Amino acid sequence: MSSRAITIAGYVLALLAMVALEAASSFRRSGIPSFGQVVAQIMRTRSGRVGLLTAWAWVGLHFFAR
Amino acid sequence: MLAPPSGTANRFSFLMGLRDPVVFILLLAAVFDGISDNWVHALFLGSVGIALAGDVYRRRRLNVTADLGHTASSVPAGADDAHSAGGAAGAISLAHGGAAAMGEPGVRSSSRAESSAFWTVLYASAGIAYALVVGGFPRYSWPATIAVACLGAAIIARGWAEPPARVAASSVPSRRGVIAWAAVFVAGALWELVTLLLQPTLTADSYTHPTISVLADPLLVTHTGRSLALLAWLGCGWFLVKR
Repeated sequence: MSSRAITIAGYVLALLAMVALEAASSFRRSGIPSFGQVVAQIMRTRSGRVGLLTAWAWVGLHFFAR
Repeated sequence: MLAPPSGTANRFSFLMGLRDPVVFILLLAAVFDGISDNWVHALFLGSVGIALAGDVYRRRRLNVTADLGHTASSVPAGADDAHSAGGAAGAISLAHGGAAAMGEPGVRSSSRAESSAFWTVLYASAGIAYALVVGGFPRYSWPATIAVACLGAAIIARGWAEPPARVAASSVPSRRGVIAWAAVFVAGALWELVTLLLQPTLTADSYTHPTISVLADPLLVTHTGRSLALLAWLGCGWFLVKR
């Protein structure tokens, strides 16, 4: 397995873990919140809200801006 | 009870704003973007970080003043805006309740739903137009930079000013669940960081150790690809704003 394949596999693994957590959140007994619930909790404070929105804006800058 | 802020304490109190984890992360990210030669990104993150540090400092000072005047109990930083928003939300719900009691609830809710649908269609149309126009600009050009930075700044400003939504106690996520999500995101971010550090330099891409942006390059070469990526980005922003 090449280094490139291992690198890409790491990203895919992280993505699959997120999908698994979101799927687990639909079962109440798991105690896992949905991604939306976690985001809503972070957005309750101004620091959290500004931090998340800045992270979002940075993603746009990273892919499109100088 | 907290001590009153003296002149010297005031100067150091501003540095207390830097202890806010979000401020620390923003300023650290600004430094890393700066040394990676991404000065626009560094300026953007640094400006928000410094403004947020000032805001944290100002809110802590207000808490101290209120505490000294025995007008409020000690409220942790970050909870003050939730506290004030609670009042605002209460006022709004009271206003809505009063209006509903005076008018016809069925007609009013139907009117609100129509208005909401109208704004959703308007925002969706504006988003598609934005993605089509800005997607036509070359990547890393000044027009694309200005379009993305201005929209980002406007959404951050809106989030800054807006009172937070009240979260019902039953929907507060468990500590274990939050840790699980945080662990996945931190692991993903560390993987990206390791990949970045395995590049020949911070500014040179690597085929062997591609970062996410390098993997996205083939998609973002075309106008269609850029427009689709911008639509996804706008969708994520919409998801955050609606929380």
